[in-house]
Amino acid sequence: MRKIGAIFWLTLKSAVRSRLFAGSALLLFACMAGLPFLVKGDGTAVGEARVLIYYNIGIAGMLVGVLALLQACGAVSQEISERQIQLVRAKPVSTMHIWLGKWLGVLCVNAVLIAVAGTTTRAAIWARGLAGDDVKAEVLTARRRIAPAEERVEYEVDHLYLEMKEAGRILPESDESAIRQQLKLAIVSARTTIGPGQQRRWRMEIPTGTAPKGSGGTELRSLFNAAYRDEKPMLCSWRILSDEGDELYSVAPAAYMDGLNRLPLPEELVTEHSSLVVEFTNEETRDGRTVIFNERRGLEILVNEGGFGANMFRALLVVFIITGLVAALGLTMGAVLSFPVAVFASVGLVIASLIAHFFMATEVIPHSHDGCDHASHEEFQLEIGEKMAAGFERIIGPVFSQKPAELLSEGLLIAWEDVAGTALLLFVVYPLLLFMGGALGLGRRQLALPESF
Amino acid sequence: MSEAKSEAIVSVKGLRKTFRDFWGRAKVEAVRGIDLEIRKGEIFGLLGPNGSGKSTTIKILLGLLHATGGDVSVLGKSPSSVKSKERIGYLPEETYVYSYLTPRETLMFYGRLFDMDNARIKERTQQLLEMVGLTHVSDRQVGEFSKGMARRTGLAQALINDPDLVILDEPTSGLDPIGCRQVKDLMLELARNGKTILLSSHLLADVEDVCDRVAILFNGEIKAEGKVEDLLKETDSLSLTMPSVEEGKLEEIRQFAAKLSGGAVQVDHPSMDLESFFVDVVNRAGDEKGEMSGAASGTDIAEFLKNVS
Repeated sequence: MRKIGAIFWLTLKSAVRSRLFAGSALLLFACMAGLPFLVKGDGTAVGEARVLIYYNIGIAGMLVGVLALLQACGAVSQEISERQIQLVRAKPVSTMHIWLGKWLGVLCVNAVLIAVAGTTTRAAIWARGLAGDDVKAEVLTARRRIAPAEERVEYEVDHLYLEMKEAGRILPESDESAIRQQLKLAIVSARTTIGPGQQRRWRMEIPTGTAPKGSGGTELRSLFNAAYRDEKPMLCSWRILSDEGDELYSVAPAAYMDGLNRLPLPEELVTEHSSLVVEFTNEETRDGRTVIFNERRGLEILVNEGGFGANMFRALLVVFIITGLVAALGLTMGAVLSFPVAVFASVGLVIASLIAHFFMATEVIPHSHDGCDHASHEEFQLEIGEKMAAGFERIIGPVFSQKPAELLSEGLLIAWEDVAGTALLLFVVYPLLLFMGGALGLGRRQLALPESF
Repeated sequence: MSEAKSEAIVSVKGLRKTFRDFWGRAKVEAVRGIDLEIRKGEIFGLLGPNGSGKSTTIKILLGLLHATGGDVSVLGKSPSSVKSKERIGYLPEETYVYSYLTPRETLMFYGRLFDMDNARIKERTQQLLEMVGLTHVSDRQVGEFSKGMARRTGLAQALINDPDLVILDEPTSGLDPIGCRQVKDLMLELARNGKTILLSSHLLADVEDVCDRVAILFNGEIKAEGKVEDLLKETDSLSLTMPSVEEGKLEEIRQFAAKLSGGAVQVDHPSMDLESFFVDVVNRAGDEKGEMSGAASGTDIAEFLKNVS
């Protein structure tokens, strides 16, 4: 432990004395303090607070990540090129001590910078006077978001596809996967469209550990638009049912405008049940119009579970975890490659991951159809590309699924259990794999080669 | 040589090292089948011109380079063994210490790498700083030092763990004559205290002054090996030293010696070597010394290194 501690101390000392660190810390502070005075939201205090938090935390994560990568790449590779590593390796120190000590050192630097970013952001919110009741209720809070359970549409897609095929509405040369994709979109879209006199139900799973703060604020939030614009409201009603169909709570038909609507709910609903069924009725009236629920946030139950301070701490913790993983990547690259090559390889890997994630998330790569005989070379290449991107996505998906800045700026809870899960994967499992690679690579590397080799 | 000194501390058999390029093609054959044995308590000199394979051999002994072939054992273990390094002190040919640390921090850092407790590290750091004459600059960064002062820091770090085997690669490089003398005296003192020293140098006088045995490397091969006195002894001539006498008597002695030996006899005054003369002058001047910004003369060997192991 003392050996790791010594290398940790050395890494800190080296960072504090480096111009890269001083410059980055200054840039970070300038961004955190200056950005709030440049950003403009949607004209409301809530919008301004959201933009401020989103950009500040996002930029802090990016800057600290870049610094962590550069620092980690150089931590070992520069010691090898400047040959100080020879004296260290001539001592009873294993490559594991070196890797861990360096990693902890970079982590400590990251922690300091992230703490500076967090404190400056908090101070900026206060300095801009963004602490009104509406901001406190919408942004400076931590609400658990309960979304409808994902509905499976594969059966309906299969059924519709076969029906169309039998009816001869599908040409033999058509791309089956593309048609299925279109059918899926059509089904999902139909489900979010509710005409006058129609009803729709969503099942909501209440996560274990949901614990309202006790000061109210639990609400059903809906976001929908009318099929066409009109000044007159629509008549809608809501019912909350148990899984067995018993009515737990109901709201008599009332006038609703299109846009965001909030319906306060009793807290017992989320504490006493593990799942709820939400029923929406678009009442049949003379002025009735079809409503279309927003695909992303059409319906959600928000439960006020805590304060902004603790939520911000967890958001920063997630940023810290991600930058820690970036540092582990840089360190391992630096252990086996020279500094410029390590930086190039690490950045290349991050960019490749981003591209793969983008393609997989947006489904830009059309899925090739099963049983394909690879009629063309391009199709074959596409399939290989898709498989590679899918493989990449499987590994790096958990990294990009973290959205601390987005959640914090929306006032949504970042739960401890989510942070713990993220930490286990991105702060223990992945770094452990990188650690083994880095320590092994450094152990096999000849550290005193003549310069021309 | 005593019984204790017969234990092999370093054993090298058929050592070969070939440097290869990125594509695995052999580029330089730096070491070509070296056999060596360094015994406990001796000062072993590795001599040779630049590029003869001295530093490569040392780096293989420390596990910093991987041998292409042959067997290497250091303190009874493989060079890659972390455990064996607990008993080794190493000073490389250039002082690769961290420029942003002070000598005190440098010694504290390397001390911690040996898992030593803080109190012991502090005590040894103080003794070593005094020994190498850097106490008065112990809180200045090594990056601000002259090459010689940095070298002294490097030497101190090599001894922080009270090593059984001290590997010194060109230890006097960059040192002033007093520093050179101190290093040589230190090596002799360490050997007297049971330490084994492997000295690599191309300064023949340094090696001649301190080494028990030497190996001369050329182009990666050992060309000569043995005790220094055996290698240098000229058995077909004698030198006799006596107090000065007047010219007449000297001529008588010369004739008498010529008659006895049957050959030419050379008579002259023995001279002090320049290093001893320099040290003498500076020591006398040192009695009047004031504040110094560079390295001081240093003191005797650090107390903890005097323990006979």
